[in-house]
Amino acid sequence: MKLIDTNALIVLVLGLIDPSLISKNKRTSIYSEGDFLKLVQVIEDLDKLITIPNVWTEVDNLLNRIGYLKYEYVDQLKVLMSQTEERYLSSNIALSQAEFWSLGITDTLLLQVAKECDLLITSDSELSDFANANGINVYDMVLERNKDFF
Amino acid sequence: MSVTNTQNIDLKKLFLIAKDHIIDILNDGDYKPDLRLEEAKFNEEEGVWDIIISYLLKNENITEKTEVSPLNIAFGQRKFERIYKKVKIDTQGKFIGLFMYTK
Repeated sequence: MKLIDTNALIVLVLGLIDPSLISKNKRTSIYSEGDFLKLVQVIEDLDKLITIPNVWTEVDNLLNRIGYLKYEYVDQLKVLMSQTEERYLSSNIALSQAEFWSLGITDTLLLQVAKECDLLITSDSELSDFANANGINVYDMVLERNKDFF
Repeated sequence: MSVTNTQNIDLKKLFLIAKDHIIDILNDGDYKPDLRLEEAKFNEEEGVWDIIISYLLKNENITEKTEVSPLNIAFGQRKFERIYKKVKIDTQGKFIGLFMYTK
């Protein structure tokens, strides 16, 4: 299973609606259609993609006011939510982890679930740092994008 | 949804301008700061680019004798910490300043 975080999922959702939206969103502004296509290649199969409810909540909080593309947005959510797996972890679990102080609830829970997954797909450098420190396999979208700048 | 205008901007150019101006404040020596471009947004009000960068900063307060414990990690006693900063760059590519930024 491959676990996906909020920003990476936002890239996926926007890319499925219209790839040109990706660079227009503040949180995904460094990405292009090419990065979206790479993400799709990494995911390979939606049936093997997993996330947590906290991530969906963050995605919706950030994209729900998408304006005239609302219908397309809801359609893509239906597709993604029906094909991917959603795993629930109690918020209490996050509070009991030392990483919570740095990462907050969502990313701390992601870190816990990632320990049982083959890959963590993230667009959050700090989460990637913690995942690497825990020996978790990471597809770090920020790192991949920044390779173009050196 | 926040809207940016990165279609016609060279992100690499913005990143390199920021890098040239902050490289001096990064720790030198035995580790790579993993400097990254995180976001780039044109600030319409100010007519400048607001870009977010991140880098790893070595915690010089940690010594070999510092106990590695969950409590120390919780209160920031990690060997490295990722720092986020906002950099403002004008449309001519001139570095304006480095600002605090909370993710």
